[in-house]
Amino acid sequence: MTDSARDDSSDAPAPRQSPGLGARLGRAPLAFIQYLNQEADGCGLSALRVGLGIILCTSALRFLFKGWVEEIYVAPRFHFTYFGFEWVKPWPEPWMSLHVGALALFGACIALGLFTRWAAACYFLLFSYAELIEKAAYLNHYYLVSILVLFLVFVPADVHFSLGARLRGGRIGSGAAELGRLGRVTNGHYALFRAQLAIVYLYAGLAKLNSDWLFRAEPIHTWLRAYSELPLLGPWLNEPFIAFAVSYFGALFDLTIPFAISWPRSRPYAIGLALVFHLSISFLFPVGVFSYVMLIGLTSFLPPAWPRLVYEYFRGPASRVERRRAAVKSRPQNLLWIGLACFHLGIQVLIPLRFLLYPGHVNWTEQGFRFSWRVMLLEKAGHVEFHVLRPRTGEEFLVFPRDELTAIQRKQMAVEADMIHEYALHLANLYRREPGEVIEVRADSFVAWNGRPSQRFIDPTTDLAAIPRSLHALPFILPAPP
Amino acid sequence: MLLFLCGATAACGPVSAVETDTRRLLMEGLGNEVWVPTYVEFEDRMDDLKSALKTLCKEPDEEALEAAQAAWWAARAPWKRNELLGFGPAVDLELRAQTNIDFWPARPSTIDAVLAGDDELNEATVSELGASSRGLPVLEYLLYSGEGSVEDRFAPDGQRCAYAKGLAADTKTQATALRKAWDPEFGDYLSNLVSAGRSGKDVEFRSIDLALSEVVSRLAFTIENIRGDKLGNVLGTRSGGTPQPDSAESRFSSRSLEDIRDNVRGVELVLVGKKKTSESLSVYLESLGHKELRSELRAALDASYESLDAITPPLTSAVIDDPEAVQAAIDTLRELQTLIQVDVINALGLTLTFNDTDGD
Repeated sequence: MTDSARDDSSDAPAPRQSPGLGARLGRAPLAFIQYLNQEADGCGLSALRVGLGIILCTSALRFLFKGWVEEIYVAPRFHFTYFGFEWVKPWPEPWMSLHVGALALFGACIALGLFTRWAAACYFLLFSYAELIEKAAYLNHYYLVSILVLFLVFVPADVHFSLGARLRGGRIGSGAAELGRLGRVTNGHYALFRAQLAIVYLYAGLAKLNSDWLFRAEPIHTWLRAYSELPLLGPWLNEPFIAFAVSYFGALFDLTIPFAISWPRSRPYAIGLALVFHLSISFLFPVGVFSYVMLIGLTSFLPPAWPRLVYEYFRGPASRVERRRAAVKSRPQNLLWIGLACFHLGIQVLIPLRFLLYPGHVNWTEQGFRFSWRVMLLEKAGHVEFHVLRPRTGEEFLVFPRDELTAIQRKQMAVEADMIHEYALHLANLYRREPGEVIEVRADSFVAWNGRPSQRFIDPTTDLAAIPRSLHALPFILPAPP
Repeated sequence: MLLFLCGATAACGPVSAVETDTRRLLMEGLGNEVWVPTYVEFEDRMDDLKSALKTLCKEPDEEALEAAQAAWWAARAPWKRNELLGFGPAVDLELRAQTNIDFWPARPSTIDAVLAGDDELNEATVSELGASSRGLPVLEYLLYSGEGSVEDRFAPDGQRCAYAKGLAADTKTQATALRKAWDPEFGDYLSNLVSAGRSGKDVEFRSIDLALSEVVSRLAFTIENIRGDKLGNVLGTRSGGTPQPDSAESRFSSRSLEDIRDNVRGVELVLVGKKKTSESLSVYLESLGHKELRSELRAALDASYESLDAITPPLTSAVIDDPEAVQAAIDTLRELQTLIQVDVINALGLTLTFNDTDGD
């Protein structure tokens, strides 16, 4: 029991008796805060940092060498922006490539534990800037990466496996933390990562509880059928019951993995399932580094000393000194830190719920879809073209997005109403010969999702250029097909 | 576990002597039964055109000119059917076959300048000219325009004859190069589609889905190109409503609408095949449980042909005399484009993310 807990108990009325449920519940927040402030082994957090840093570095290098800087940032003549962030623009080359190169460098620093907090801060700023340049390139796991890197700015994740720790007098792999110079890791630091990951999984699981997923096994059925020609397993993948099994397993996995991996008795099975689940996804679907980010994130749920335990499993028990270093201690409460973390997590809980503020099916309108951990829910394709009218002269123009947009931008815009609206406003500006001239822009747009026949997506009679950009519900989205 | 095993199997990618993957069989079938034979047909027609020009230039008269024009007209058909293959060898930087064979609309001033020059014109010198001075549109201009008698225009020693013969030989060479690039016995570009994503193969597409996606996207693009450029531009839908007859494809021969029909025929061969049993996307879609798409595609294709037939040729006049008919064709073809670009892509699960290896 900690000192503060002892102080509390000394205020209890005599004669001593076991506290009632109400009293215990009343003390729960305090006990929880004490738990959060309890010192923990920093090995797990450092291992997470190393894994994440390696992913960040390789991901940036891959971006550079595969020519995606050119494809995503440099080549497009027009960029889809986030509301309020229209000022974020790509740098001219070679600065944009240097920008991504710097991301690789900071990712390597994070992995090595060199100037970790500064490297994480720089990575967060540069990465977020790059992500804000082009909305068509939005990915949920990139958003998650931003959040996890932001955490690394504030938590002492470099007490182990760190060149920085060595430079400051410690030893790689063990414990300058013992000297108190690198900051002390607490249960709260792990809890922050766990809570964030739990939010991701739970919202991903909740989003799957829809009729397409549960009663039609879509889009899994469509995706698995693409593998129906594989030897041995192929014919099975065409079977609807397999699609249903995979769908239900996926939803159940998302909804339970944070708990299953936290409970010691189920943990070994949960780890095995997580590996199978994420590696299967990585093999089958084009999800990039998503699976690896999630697997690295899941290590935060393991006992903080897990790297030490793995080491001992393979190399024998650690020395007595190292065991002492791993001993749990307590540290003073830090309510400000906890308050900020709770505020962040509160925002994280609320943001995915904002879809409730918009009318219509979120998977059709996609209003409130981004930043909500709605992953792998949609197989969606669309087509859109624009009719531009200059009322003053009566001139009409048929505009195909391919005239200006890249393939990636066209594909994303075709199924996302806010991007169609943004491009319509851009076209109005493009065709406006003098300030204030009225230009009308209408969209011919069709979308098919999760195996349904295509249906008109945007009201073709609405002048999109007359509607200013905002976060309000877009009134021109037609109702979803049944 | 099932998925894991499946994923591992997919990654290892068995290379079997007998292909079993329907998507790969589809690519193989389309390549060997449709695309390569169409390029062979184009080569043959170019040979016919070369012969016809030889006859015309030897003994120029109306009959020989008509024969040469008919040969040119016939050569356009296979070329336009394969126009959807606007990737790979067609845009290969070394070949630049698509641009060199079919740069349109033809630029009379550029062609007249070559005709007026003193340079010797033969296959070798023509192959050195820029894209706007080469290919089928230039041949069309030479065969279908010009003043004076046939005998005067196609005098055996004249520049027009030398230019036409040089162009035909050059285009035939390009056609052969293009066919060989696709032919499994030569360049075998087809294997990039058939063996896409297979380990141990240096292929352009990293997965069969990406290869299939390229083909389906090309079908949609072909229809959009018809609507936007071949009909829309001429009608003026992209220039504020003012008709632009000079921007029409094959405007000298009045083959504009037939060019479009051939484009649609090429799309039709991939979508529904020559016969119901032919290798086609519809057959694959049926195997995936999307039987309804075949009839919908068939209906959209039929409607497209009907709308094109409703335009009174030539297109250059129709855009002025009957713009409603042209607009109706643009609208009708949109239904075909939507079916391909939205319904077929969705049914095949080919929606691409921001790049082919990242996305959720």
